[in-house]
Amino acid sequence: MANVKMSFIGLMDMLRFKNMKVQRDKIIDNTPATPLVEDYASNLKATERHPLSQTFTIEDIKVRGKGDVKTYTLRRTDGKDPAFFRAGQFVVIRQMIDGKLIARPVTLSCGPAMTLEGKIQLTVKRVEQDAFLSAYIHDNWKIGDTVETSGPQGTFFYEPLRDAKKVIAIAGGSGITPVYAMANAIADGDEDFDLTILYGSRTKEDILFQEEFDAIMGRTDKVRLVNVLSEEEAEGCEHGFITAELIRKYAGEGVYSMFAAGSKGMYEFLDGEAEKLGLIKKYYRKELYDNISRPWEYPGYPMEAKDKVFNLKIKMCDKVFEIPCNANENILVALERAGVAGPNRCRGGICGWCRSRLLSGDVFIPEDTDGRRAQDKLDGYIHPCACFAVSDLSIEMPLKR
Amino acid sequence: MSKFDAVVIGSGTGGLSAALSLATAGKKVLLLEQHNMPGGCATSFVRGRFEFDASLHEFCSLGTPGHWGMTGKLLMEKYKLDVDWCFIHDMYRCIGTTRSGKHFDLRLPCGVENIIKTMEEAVPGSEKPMRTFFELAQECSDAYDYFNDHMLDGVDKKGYTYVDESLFMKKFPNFLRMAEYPFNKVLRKIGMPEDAIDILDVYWTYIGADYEKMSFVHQAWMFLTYANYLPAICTRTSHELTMAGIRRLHELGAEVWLNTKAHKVVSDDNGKIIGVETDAGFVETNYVIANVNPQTAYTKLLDKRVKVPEVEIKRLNAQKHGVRFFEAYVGLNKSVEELGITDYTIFMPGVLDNAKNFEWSKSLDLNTHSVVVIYNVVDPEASPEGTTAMTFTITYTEDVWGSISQRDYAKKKSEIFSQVLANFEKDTGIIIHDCIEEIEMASPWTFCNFLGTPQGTVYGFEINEWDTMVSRLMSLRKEQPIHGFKTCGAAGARGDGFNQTYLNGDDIARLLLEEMEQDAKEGR
Repeated sequence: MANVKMSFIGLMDMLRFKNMKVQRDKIIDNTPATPLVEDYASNLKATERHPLSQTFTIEDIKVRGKGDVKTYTLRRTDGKDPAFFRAGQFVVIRQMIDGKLIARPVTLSCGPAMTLEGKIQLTVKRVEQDAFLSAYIHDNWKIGDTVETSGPQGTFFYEPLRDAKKVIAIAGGSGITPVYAMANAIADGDEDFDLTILYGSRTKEDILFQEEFDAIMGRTDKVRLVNVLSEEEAEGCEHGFITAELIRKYAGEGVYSMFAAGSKGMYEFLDGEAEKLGLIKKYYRKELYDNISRPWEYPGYPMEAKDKVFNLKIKMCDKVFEIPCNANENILVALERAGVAGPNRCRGGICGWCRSRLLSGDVFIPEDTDGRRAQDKLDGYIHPCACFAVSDLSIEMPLKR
Repeated sequence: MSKFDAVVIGSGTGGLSAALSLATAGKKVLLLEQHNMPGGCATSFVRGRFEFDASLHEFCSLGTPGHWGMTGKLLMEKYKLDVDWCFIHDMYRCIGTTRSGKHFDLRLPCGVENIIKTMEEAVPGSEKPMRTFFELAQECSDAYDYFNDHMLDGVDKKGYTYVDESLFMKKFPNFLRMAEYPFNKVLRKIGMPEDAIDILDVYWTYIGADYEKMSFVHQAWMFLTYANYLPAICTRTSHELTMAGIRRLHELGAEVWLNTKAHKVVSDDNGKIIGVETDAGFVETNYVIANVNPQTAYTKLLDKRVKVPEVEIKRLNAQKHGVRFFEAYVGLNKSVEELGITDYTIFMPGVLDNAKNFEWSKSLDLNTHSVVVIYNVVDPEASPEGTTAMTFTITYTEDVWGSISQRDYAKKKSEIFSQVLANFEKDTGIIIHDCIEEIEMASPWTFCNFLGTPQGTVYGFEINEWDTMVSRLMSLRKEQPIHGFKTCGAAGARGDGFNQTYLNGDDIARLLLEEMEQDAKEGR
């Protein structure tokens, strides 16, 4: 066996060992007992970047399109800069309506540089089916009101290490907002890529941000806007749907990334066109669509569950309660209707903020919005925003704060 | 109002382990987690068709079924966790130029004889010192095992862990001699060629220490356990390990409350712990373990009526925050076979020079030392067929990310990763920049956001020449001086890594159980 002595006299090494802990205590004892630092630079920067909540005052409201779209300019109430973000990200608006907290993701429709002036902009289209929030905002939000949001969220933004230098953005209707944010970011020097926007609207009257886009294109030649009208023909606009042929026409030669932002219907059409174009996953990215609904339209749905109302038993920390759960709406909507929704962000099955533990019962999970972790699938966890009750259920939820 | 025997704050590996230890002992336990996901660093996230492990988490002393090591015994036998382990058969590949100017591209397999053979081929003359190294490492490891088994048996007159010196002198004399000498100094003493030292030092980022200063025992023990036991990871990311712990806690009747932040550990006017203020209301308990850096615990969590001894404040001022990371999680749209990737871990320090690497790790721009882990090499199902999941890590020993502006932050991340990517392609000859389908980057800011640790450190306090694992363990009891309140985790005595934090969680829970037993006996 090796017998290694570090010092000339091996016993000295032993003494060293004995003294080490004493030596350590001496060093500690010779250190001043100045009050401990609470926060360091990185901690403060991280809190600025990822606030749990931001409070804003409505500074301006601009009506757009046919009057069914409004842009709200919001200033941080505490005078600080709103969290800086990546163009294309969203915040979650959290609004009390009739004593219930309703949350919905809304895209930031401005360049991130606007945060350096203390403000952000959000653009909301009134959607009658979505009786929860957009109608409420249109009817109630007025200048001077206070609004609460989350910090910036989402992964629909340009990533130079992944995406092609040339991006064809396909936007439908109010899906233009993330693309509009990207155009601003390019003009402001916060993003660097060539952006060609194929913007689908019904009529010329429905086009949003035309003036603003004109101004951006005056500042940078990296942004190009092509309006595509489905229900009328107009000078300088393309007519019809955004097909593979049209995309090819504007993409030109060479590799490009396709970013799509619009409705579920638009994506279903576009998926086919992307296939014709031979686009691989790396070069085809889609923004989430709001609030997953109509489960019976997805393959594999047990039709006998449709139109039923099930009993949903919830365990939340040390409390247990029961609420009705309409099979036609996702479980998170049922929780919101009952005023008991826990944390949630993307409403698209992906982010996992609403992750809950299924204790008993069966749910239907549409495959294309199943963003659960592999282990969670085995352990019976669900994302309530992207699943539907098909029997009475019992779940354990993270705390509603 | 809810009442529990003990409350554990934070479900990171240390906290989860403490909760498991307490629940295994039959206590009614509440585990609180401020996020909606449990696990701390032991978690994963989904991007597109990829699920990425948030951490690089090779267990060193897990062992294998039937031959569990120190940590394997704890996780599999004491806690009875159900985990699909995935074992790795190589230590690492390292590419770089040593201080002598020689370029090495070396793959070190596991197994002591394999390593000795590989090292002798790469650095002639290293066989004999390598054998001595492994003998010493084995003795240190045996001594550490023995020490570990008896660590909580008692204390000496001054409050330090009791060590039976005559037994150690007889059985582990080299351990006593080596314990407090730096790793590289011992290697030189046994005649290790300098090129071999540079190759063996490459693990420094796993401990975050300068090996000219760090104790021989710590590194030798880690190296030997990797060599003997095989590094181990979980099949379905470290989230699998966390969920195995959560499932077991549920089986044992413990409560786990997610998205429930603990705001304050409350005491009465005499400083006796009486409960925890949480988002879900006040929870009654007399015993709390916080998986929180003690600096954060003392400044933000603990009731000001509890007197923190001055020596604790001095200690935390004296200790230096451990390393923080930049991570890039990358999903490729090609398989490892298509790309010709055959290694799980590749260290790419540029120069194989621990002192220089350590110096550069204090800088944002000079630091391009990266380690890459490619999951599909050991687990073909780590990502969908035809794809590859990999993680790049850069280690910083100072809070250099604190000076970046909000506006430059995203650009800085891209810039740093571009450089790392270019180095990877140059060092390995494998081209991947054109097949990146998903990428997510985390910086110290990200770790600040999720972990709330000072400066976003992941490794607790730096292990260095005076603040060694062994001397910390000798002071374990002294440094948890508050009755009914303890902290555990990477900032604990054993330092960083899931292996160490799981062990530390159990150590601290056992100390708390002693206090509970004592109090019960005395009718408090």
